[in-house]
Formats: sequence, structure tokens, C-alpha cells
Amino acid sequence: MYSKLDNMKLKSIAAFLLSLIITSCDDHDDVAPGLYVDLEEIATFPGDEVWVEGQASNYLGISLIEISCDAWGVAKTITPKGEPKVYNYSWKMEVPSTATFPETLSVVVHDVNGLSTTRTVTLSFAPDITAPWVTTSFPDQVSVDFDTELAKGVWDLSLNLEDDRALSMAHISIPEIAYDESIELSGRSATLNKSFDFTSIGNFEAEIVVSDSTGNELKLTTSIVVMLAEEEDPYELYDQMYAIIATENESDYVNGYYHFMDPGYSDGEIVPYTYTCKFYAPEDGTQVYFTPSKSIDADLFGVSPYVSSKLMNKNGYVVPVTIEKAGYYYLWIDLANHCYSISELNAEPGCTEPVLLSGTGFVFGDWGASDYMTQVSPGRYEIETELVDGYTDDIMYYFYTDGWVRVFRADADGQWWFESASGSCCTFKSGYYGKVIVTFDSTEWWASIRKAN
Amino acid sequence: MKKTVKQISLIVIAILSLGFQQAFGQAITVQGTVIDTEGEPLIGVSIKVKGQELGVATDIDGHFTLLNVASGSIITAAYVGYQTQEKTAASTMQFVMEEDNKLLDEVVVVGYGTQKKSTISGAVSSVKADKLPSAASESLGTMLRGRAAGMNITQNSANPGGSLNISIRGGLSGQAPLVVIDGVPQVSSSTVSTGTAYSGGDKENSLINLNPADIESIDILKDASAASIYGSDASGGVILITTKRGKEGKPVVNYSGSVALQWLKDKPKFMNARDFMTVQNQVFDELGRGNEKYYTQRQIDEFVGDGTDWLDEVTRTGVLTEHNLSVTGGNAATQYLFSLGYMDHQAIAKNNSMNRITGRMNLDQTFSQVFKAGVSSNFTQIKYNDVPLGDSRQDNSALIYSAMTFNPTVSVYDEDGSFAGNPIRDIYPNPVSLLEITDETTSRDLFITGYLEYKPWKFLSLRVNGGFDLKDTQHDQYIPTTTKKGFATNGMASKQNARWQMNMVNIIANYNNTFGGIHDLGVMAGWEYKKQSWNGMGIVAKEFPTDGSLMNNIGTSQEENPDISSFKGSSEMASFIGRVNYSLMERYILTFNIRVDGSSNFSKDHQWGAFPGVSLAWRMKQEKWMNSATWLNDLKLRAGYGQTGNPGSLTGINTFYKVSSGAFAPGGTLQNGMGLSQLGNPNLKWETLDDWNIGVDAGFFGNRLQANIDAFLRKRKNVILTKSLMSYNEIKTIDYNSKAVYESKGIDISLTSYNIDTRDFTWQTDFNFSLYRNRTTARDPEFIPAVYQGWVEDWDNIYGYKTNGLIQDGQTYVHLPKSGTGAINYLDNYSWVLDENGERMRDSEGRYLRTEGGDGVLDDADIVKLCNNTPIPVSLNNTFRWKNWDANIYIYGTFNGWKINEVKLQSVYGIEDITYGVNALKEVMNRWRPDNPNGTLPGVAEATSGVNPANSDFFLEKAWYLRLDNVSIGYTFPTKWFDNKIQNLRAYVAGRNLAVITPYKGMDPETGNGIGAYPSQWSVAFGLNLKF
Repeated sequence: MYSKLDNMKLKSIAAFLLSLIITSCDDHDDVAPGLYVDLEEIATFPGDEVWVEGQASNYLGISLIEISCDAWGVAKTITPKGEPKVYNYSWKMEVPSTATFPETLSVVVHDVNGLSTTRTVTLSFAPDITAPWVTTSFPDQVSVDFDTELAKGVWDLSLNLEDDRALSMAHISIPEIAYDESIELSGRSATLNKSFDFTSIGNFEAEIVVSDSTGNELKLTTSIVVMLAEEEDPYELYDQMYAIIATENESDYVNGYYHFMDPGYSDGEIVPYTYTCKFYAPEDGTQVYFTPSKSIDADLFGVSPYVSSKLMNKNGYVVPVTIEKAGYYYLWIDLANHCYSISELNAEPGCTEPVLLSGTGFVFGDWGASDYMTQVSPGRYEIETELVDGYTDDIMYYFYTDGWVRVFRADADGQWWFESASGSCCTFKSGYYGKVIVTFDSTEWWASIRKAN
Repeated sequence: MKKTVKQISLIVIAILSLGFQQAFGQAITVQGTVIDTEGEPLIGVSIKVKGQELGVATDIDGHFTLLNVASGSIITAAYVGYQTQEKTAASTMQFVMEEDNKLLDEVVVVGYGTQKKSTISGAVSSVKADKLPSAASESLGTMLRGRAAGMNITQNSANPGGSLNISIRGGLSGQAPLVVIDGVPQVSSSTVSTGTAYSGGDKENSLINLNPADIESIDILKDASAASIYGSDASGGVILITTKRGKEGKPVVNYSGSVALQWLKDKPKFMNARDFMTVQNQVFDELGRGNEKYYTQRQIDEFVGDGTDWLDEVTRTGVLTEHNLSVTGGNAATQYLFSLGYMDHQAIAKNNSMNRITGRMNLDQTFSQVFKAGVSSNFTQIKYNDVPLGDSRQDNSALIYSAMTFNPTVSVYDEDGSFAGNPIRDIYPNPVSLLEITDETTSRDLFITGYLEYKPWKFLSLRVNGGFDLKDTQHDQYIPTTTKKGFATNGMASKQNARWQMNMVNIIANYNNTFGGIHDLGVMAGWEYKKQSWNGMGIVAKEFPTDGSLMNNIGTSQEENPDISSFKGSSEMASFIGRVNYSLMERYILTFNIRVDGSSNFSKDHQWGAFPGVSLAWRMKQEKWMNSATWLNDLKLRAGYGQTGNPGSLTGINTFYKVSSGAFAPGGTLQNGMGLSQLGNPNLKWETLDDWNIGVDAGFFGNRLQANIDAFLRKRKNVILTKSLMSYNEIKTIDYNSKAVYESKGIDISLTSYNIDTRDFTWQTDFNFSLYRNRTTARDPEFIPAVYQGWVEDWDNIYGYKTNGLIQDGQTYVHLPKSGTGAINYLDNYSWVLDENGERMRDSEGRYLRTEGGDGVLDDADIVKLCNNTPIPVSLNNTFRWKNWDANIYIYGTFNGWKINEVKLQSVYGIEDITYGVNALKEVMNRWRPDNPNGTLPGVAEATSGVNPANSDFFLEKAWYLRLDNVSIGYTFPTKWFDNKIQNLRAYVAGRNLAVITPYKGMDPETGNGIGAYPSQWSVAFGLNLKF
């Protein structure tokens, strides 16, 4: 009835005995391997690079995969290591510059018994409908300081351009200074460097049209604001910076208001005056300031009210940086060059399992556990709880999944959140007692304790 | 005439004599040998011609010669403790004497001495090591599972050398049993693996150091009347192990060896590639993420085969081989035993192995009539090559977890030979890549004891015993950059070592005398000193320039602050020991033990603890009025009381500081430094364990049926607990003696039956059964029970929410606001009792009150007792012998057990992970779906219910089991085939762990439980025993 001396056991015994007599016998000896090609038709063009991908599968081992197109002189063989029973092949094919269309690509998979399966992929010509694109940021507005001694301001344009086939031409026009020039480009990528002198202050509209060999065009426009140099408070090389949401107050938080930013790195070296962090913008139009200390009364960085791309230290009139859409971002600021970038963070949540909060100073008792936190979005958790009235000792907190299978903690200052079975906890003191909302976000790797209304 | 008559008479007599001789055969010379079943020659065996006075005794080689024996006479061989045998006389004869188990009055080791089994008054179980099947077993501990009533041994993990949980009579004290080998306690040690990213699993560190072939007997002191002689070390019971010693006679060489092949057992069925792709697409739809589907239907349709079976990729057929060789012998003055043992286990997980080498030398030397000395020494080295184990998930997944859950549509290697990743979410380690982790542990155990005995008179002896046990463990690990973890850390190396040592010396005086032929008095008194010490260190470092050096050039680490740790400690104990045995007519027996322990672990006011034990026995069958009960051969009633101690955490009295990270906060920032680590309690005193035992030993029908039944009651008082201090203290907890009282009641039954006992065929059955229940009978005044807890509460209760299937379409529940259709329907059966202010009301014990009827909230008020998980250990051993064939069938298990089916739970819990390419149990195909409303497992809605299913009865399953642990058949070859040059040759084949009968559907009901648990194995072993 409940016996676990089941068929599997009996089969194992039988298989063992049979294997002494019969050395090779399999029910699936005569089954040809399965072969899947991701794309049954690949649209491409001469000089292109395309991925040929798919999956080979079989009851027995796969010995060889052949990809070939006689007309193009393409012949690729893949010998999977270990004769696997499933193999995901992926090969980047260079389309010959003399390629003709349409043609047929043949994919053949062979198994260890010599059986094979063939699939064909149609190779068709893909017309060029893609315009060139820029790989560096090109702001809507740039500021240029007007040098009164030289009686001019200089805009240094530096633009990295790419096209999927071939770049042809860049046309730059700034009507107010009567500049209009076409520059020839070639290849799939090119850099456009140019300096422009402005002899007066004012707003100057610039237009750059980049075209490829087929005539597809990319049109870029920007407003060049030439003005007397804005005064800003002196800044220095800070150990760290913090990002804060301008519409919130420090007093709204018990912990986690100041979002730590690491110094920026390049090639393993710190790039002075640059700082980065992952950041969650809770709503469209989230406004952000940057500060080197946990105070907004000292140095405070925002952007010029006149030039939204110009990052500056507090000068009495900086305004917050605006993040247009809610979501996860990678923030990067450069204090010395007065610029910043906000790029979308395409990271998976670090955790989507049910998570609990633990720590000291909470109503569930020191090192006790909260109820399960609510996963408000994948990887982001919230729970409303309470800080114990009169608790004067250190408040500490961390998060974990059931059975402490995964533990999420921070350094004592709460600057870095990470997953580790052992180590420190975010530790601080607070005079606040009452209801709080604790948030843990495993995508931006940040946690905070906000006072509940 | 007279002369003629005389001549005629002589002729007649001569003719008659001839006729007589012709009738009864010629007088012959009989030469023969007498050996025991082990092939050992027996000296002093009485050989007689039946019905005549003619007789001799065997010499030192077991040889005898009888002259002028009439052909056809019957020769008898008789020897104390053995069954008398009769055979028809022949010129060459051999007697193989078998022990008369029914008559032999065994000697039992009882701690600091021995006693005849018939005069034992405490609860003691004995196991003969040579009766235990050793093939395919690594450890004496696993071999002892179920072998003694009252001793419950379970294996926590099925990996090589996996740790054991040994509890005697329910383990009320929370302490492991004390293991005493040849009179010296074994130092306790632990697995060294802290500080590393992966662990190879906890190891058995005690009995595994012994070569089972070296063991003579194992005696278990179960009750405190017997165990109190070991005082504060004995609250967990005592296991006394006696090793084999040399015997007088010519050298005898013993060899035993076996080879076992092992295969995976009860492998959980995870989805194959096609099912996985199909289910993933379904789950995407069920989560409303249909646009994220990774596999097209065409891809699924064109798939052939089952995909990669990752468990196959990381496992293999295991091979366990063992070879044991011993030489024993000696003369009247010197006896010796030398042995070597080798065991190698290439486990079912690839790159996972265990290798043990043991060496033993036991010597006994008689210097004169009054002086005798001896030494026992053992060296063991065990090397493990471990694989990462555990239930951690995602990037921390270990080998088995990873193999169970890794995407089956991925091959092991990419085209360039590197390990393929999960194409959907490349954070999970490729299972085969985890085999590249180097994880080596080498443990060495040097155990040496010696004694010097002075016996000036027959009735008095003085004996000095000394010894030490030194254990040393080195654990090395390297996680290469070819693994996810190693890649993230640029290689991670760890070296940890630890050393434990126990030194002991005692002086024991024994007086034994008989007065008036009826008063047997034995007095033992002694003193003992023991010191345990331990130390170790470790380093864990990352950031290595190359994987090539593994952990062997740790200085090349480029990590700024590698983790470095070290520790050291010691404790001492001095003891006075005493015992009085008195027996009147071997019928009325009194035993009194006392031990006074002084420990460095307590303050001066509480340093000493006295632990007495007293037991009485009445051998009723010796009474004349019982003579008429001829069917009853033995009846002994026993009763005993004893007390043992428990020093708790051992360090509770001491206030100490230690250097640690984040120890102090100058300027509000935590810094490494010296900080108060523990607040001592100078008032802390010993926990005590009071133990009452009554028992009966009986033999029936010529002792062919023997029964030992014990009932016990134990109480643990002064329980050392930890309580919270006011929150503003730097240290928030302190150890103290609480008012809590724990209690254990139970019964142990052991039956032995010689069902058939003929010359050619014997069948013996042994049955062990234990039933006990631990409970908390009194609480500390500060304790406030949870609403579902009793003030008096059984241990091993499992509490949780009751459930009622799954939520179906159209059903919504206020108390399950986050549970959608297909989630588990947790029941809201109770509500809090509130006062007029809406505050929860409490009863007189401070416990919140609840009342039947839901309140729309699922909370603690709804938690109820679901079951009790106290095991009911049982075992059944059947041994058969037919002529030269022997066979054994051994079953053990428990009649009670409950377990969460973790494999199922984790599969459901992580069902969303299927969309990230994580495989799950095939059973999730039968989850609730809109088109499968009768599915048995919850649907995707459960993952966001906010309720932990482990806290309910949904995945709770009955987990009683009966394991067919051993089925063996052997043949002993007749010695005459080898011209008596070989004393014994036996070949056998054994099947181990062939079947488990259980209602539990998860992994093994005894060993690991989660997806990452090491799978259990079944084995077929072939073995040989040889003696010459």
C-alpha cells in the first residue's frame, strides 16, 4: 500500500541485472533528434551579423550540429561537449558582402546513433529602414558659460553615432550664428567633434541631421543657452553623496531618507567627483536633490533653473533634477563637469519570495519577526509596524525569507544593502515611537523606515 | 580335567570377546579439534566417551586425543557457556562449539567495572558488535539504529558521514549521550565548516571514529541509577564501548571485507524538459505575464527526449569498500590485539567521498601475581571530499538543490566548454559547476588509554586508569571562479582548523568478597580528574588572481580585510566516585552509586554537585515457591532511582568581553573592538535530572523467550534558560535556573525469542520497542504561553493553521485578503475574547483568551495543535541458520512521525520561479488552475497569500516508517575443505536499505527533507570473513 519498493526500485534491480547481459539497448534508439530553429526566416543584408539560434534535443546524446549555406560559403559545425541530450545552439553568422537573396540556411543535428534531423531557414533581404542613432546622451538643453574676457562662449559638441549599415552624412545648422555645414561620415560608427563660438549671450537653436547610406535620417535638436557664468557654492571631493527625493522631508523618515551613492568607478579606478546609485522613482516627475552629508542645509546639488542639464551646488536657486517616469534608474552625477545621467535600470529583483522583517526596537520584540511583508511590486516589500514606545537602545533591522534561507542585511550605517547569511545590521538610534512603514527593495537594494501617517 | 575346563573357558571367552569386538567395532584412537563458531580453538573443553569415565581436556590449540575408544562410541564435548555436543566417534573429529545464549550469564560493563547480567539492577542494554551487519555501513552509529530499546538513533542526512541524532529515553536533558571507550570518555567535537559560503553538511563526530570490527560490545546505561556513576556528564545517558582484546593462544588472523554498490533511492520526480516548458507557459499565463513567455509552442512540439537530467549529471553509482585485518594472540602473561581498518566510500554524488583509516593496538601484560597493566590505543583518520549541500536558493543553491531545480532545457556545457547558464535568469549555478568546488576535511583522532592494576588479594584491587582523546580537524575549501559564487568573489578560499582534547586520570579501588556463602559485597571507590580543552582558527578570503592554487596559497588574496577568527577554551572537572553492590543469596540485590562532581564551569558556591543512584533487584525465580513454575526460567524485578546533572551552556556564570565586529560606537559609528559579550550569573547551578525506573527481566520455556521491560519517569529541574534583560543593558540576555520542570515517561520493551533451535536450523527473533512522551509540566513564572499552548505541554507538538483544501472560483474570505483562487484555504476558526474596551482578555496564566468562531482575521488565535511528532522507535531482527547457511532480515523504524513535505512545499512556494527557469516537482502539474479546479496542489495565487504554508497542516504528512535495513545471506565453508588450515571462511551478500514502508511522500522520512537534502541510497554488498 504505502510501499516505496515501487516500480522504480524493481526497474533499477532489473536494469542492473539486464545490464550484465545486454550492454546497449534503449527504447529510443530509433528516434531522430528534435531540432528547433528560433527563426524560420532571417531577414538580413550583406555585411550584417545575425544570430542563428535554436535547440537540439534527443533521448540520446547529440553529437554534432551543422549550419551551412552553400551559396554564401557558410559552413559551421558545433560539437557539443559531453554529448548532451539537449543543446541550445547559438552562432553569430557574418553575412558575406556579396550575399545574394533569397537563400536557404540548413541546420542539421546528428545524434550519437547517427540519426539526424534537418531544418531550413530562409535567408531574405532586409531593406534598410533604420535611421542612425546616438550612443551618447544629447540633452535638449545645454549651457555655455560666456567668458567676458574672451568675449565668447564655446560649445564643444561631441557626438557618437552608429548605424546598422553605413553612416553617410551629418548636417549641422545653427541659424542664429549662420552656421550650416555638412560633414561626410562613413562606416557603422563615427564620432562627431566640433566647437562652436558664440559671441553674445542668448538662446541658440541647433539642429543636427545624420543620414545613412540609404537616406534614413536622425534629427537632433538642442537649445544652447549662452549666459554669464552662474555662481555656485564651492564644492569638494566628497567621500560619498546621497540622493534624496525633494518632495519629501527628512522628518518623514526614521531611517533611509538619505540614499547612499558610491563614488563612480571606471576601469577599476575611482573617477573623482562622480557618484552613482540605483534609485527608485516612486512616481512620474520624481524630483531629486543630491547632498554630500545627511543634511540639506549644507552643500546641496540640483540643476540650474535655466539649464536643466547643468548640475550645480546650491547657489540659492538650483532646482531638483526631474525623473520623468516612475521606475528604477541608475543615477550618475559628475560634480566637476556639472552633468548627470539617468538611465533605466534593467535589473531583475534580487528576491521575489515572501520576506519578513526582524530587528530590535519593533513591537514584535527584539529579533522577533514581523508578519510577511507585502510585495507591492516584484522585489519591493512593505510592511506597517510600530517602534516601541520608550525604546532608547539601538534600533537595528534586517530582512529574511522563511527559515533564514536568504538574509538581507546592511552595514551598520545602512549604506549598502546586500544578501549575506551573517554580518552586520543597519543600526541607528531614534527618538520616534509609533507606526512606521518599513520598505525593502531588492532591485535598488535599499531599505527605509518611514513614519506612517 | 580342571585344566581342560579352564582352557575351554579361555577359548570361549576369547571367541566371545572376538564376537563382542566384531559386534561393537575395533578400538580406535580418536584425534580431534574443538573450536568456537569464530574458528577460535577452545582450551579446556571436556571430551568424554559417553557412558564411560574415559575423558580428556583440549589443549591450548583445542586439540585432544582419546585412546582405545570403541568404534561406534558417542563422544561428548562440554564447555561452560557452550552447548554440549555429541558425535559418533571417528579417528578424526571436529567440534564447533556454539555459545549457549540461553544459559550464559553475560558480563555487562556498567562504568568503572563490570557486573554479571543476572545481578544488574539498573536499566542497561547490551549489544554485541559482531551481530551487527557492517557491510555498506560507515559508522557504528548507523549500525546501532534500533538495536537497543530506549536508544533512538536517526541519521540527519544521508551524505557520507552524515550527523546522527542519538537520544536515550527521549533525550529529555537535551544533551548527547556520553560515549565512553574502554573506560575513557570521548571528547565531544563538532563539524568545522563555519565562515564559508557552502557547507558539506554536519558530520557525525563520535562513533564514526571507531572501526566497528574492533568493537567487542556496546552497553547502554539508560537510567540514572546506573548512569549516575558518570554524574554530570550522564544526563543524556551513557554508551559504554568495549573494544576487543587479545586472547591467550597462538596468533589468529582475522580478515573481513566487503564491497557495496549503491544507487539513488526514491528520487523525487521533477519535470522533464517538455513538461517544464509547458508548465512555464501556463504559469506565465496564470500570473498575467503571458507576454513574457520564453518558449514557443513550436519549440515545445519539436522537442524530443527528456532534456538534461541534472541529478544524473551530478550522481553516480556509489561504491563502499572496507577491509579489516586483525591479529590476536598471546600467552599467559601477554595478550595482544593489532588491527588495521580501511574504509572508502565513493558516494553517489560525484566528487563526494569519505575515506577512513584506523589502527588499533590493545595490550595486556601480567607482570606478577599482583601487578597487571594494559594499554588501548586507536588512531583514526577520516578524509572527506564534500559537495555543497543545503536548501539555499537562487545564487546560493547547493549541489542537490541545484540539480533538482536547474532548467532541464539547458545542456551542461556551452560550445566553448564553459558551464552553461540559465538563459532566462542567469543567477543560478550550473549544478555540474558546483562539482568543481574543492571541499576537503581531514579529521584525526588519537585515543590512548592505559591502566595499571595492583591486586594484593583476591578480593581487593587498585587500578589507575589514564588516557586522552585528541581530535584534530582541518577543513579546506575553495570555490573557483567557474561557479557563480566564485565568479562573484573572484575565488573564495577557506581554511579552518580545530582541536579538541580530553585528558583523564582516575584511581579506582574495588573490593569484592563473599561472606557466609550468601553475602556478596562489592565496594568501589575512586577519584577522577578530567580536563577538556579546545582551540582553533580560520580564515576566509576572496579575490584571488587564479584558481590554480586553490586554498593553498591564501596569501595571494587581494581582499583588503579577509575574515580571520580564532578561539580557545578549556574546562576541568574533579570527581569522587563510589559504588556499593550487595547481594544476598544472589537473590536480593542492592546497588548504590554516587558521584560528586566539581566543575570549573560554576561559581564556588555552586561548584560541586552530588549525583546519587540506587537500585534494587529481586530475582523472584530463585525463591523456592516459584519452583513449580517450570515454564518460567528467570524472573527479576528491578527498581531504581538516580540523579544526573547538566551544566547547561557551560559558560553561563562567566562575564566576558571579546573582540568582535561592531563592538562599540565612538561618535555613533560602530567599530570593531572589545565589547561585553556575555553577562555571567554567579548564582547559576547545575540542572538536575531525577530518574525513576522499574523493570522486569524474565525468561520463559527454557529461556527460549526472554523479555526485558522497563518503565521510567524522569524529571529535569533547575532548567538553565536564557531570559531577556531590560533593553537598555548592553547585553540583553542572561542564563538562569528557571522554575520550569520537564518530564519524560516511557516504557522500553526488548524481546528475544529462539523460535527454532535445532542442530541444523535455528531462528532467532529480537524485537525492540520504545514508547515515551516528553512534556513540560511546570513553567517559569515569567512565561506566558501562546494562546494555543497548554501550561502543561507535550514536546514535539506541531502547531499551525487548519486548512480546508483550496479556494475555488467564487469563494472569497475576509481573513485571506491576499489569497486568490487556487490558494490554500486556511481556516479562521477562532477569535480573541475582547473586553468592553476592545482589548484582548487574558486567563489566570496570562494567556490570551479565544473563543470559537472566526473574526475575519487569520492570526495566532487560529493556530491549533495539529499533531505530535514524538517517535515510537521499533525494530525487528530475524536471524536464521541452516547448516552452514545463515541469513538476516532487519527492520527498524518508528510507529509515529509527522513531517512537512518540504519538496512539495518548496516547489509550490517557488512556483513563480518557474518563470525564471527554475524547475519544480512534477506534481505541480496537478496544481489548481482554472482548467484544473480539482488540482491537489495550490495554484500560483498561494505564493502571494502572505501566509507561510509551513505553518499549517496543508503539507504536513504522516511520516512513520519501517525500513528494511538489512537482508543478508551467508555461507560458512566447511573447514575440512581447507585441510583445517583456515579456521573460518564465510561469504555473504547483503542488501541494505532495500525498502521503506511509509505514508510520507517527500524525501526519506528519516534523513533530510528539503529539495536540497542528500538523497538516500540502497546498496548491494558482497563480503568475506576469513580467519586463520
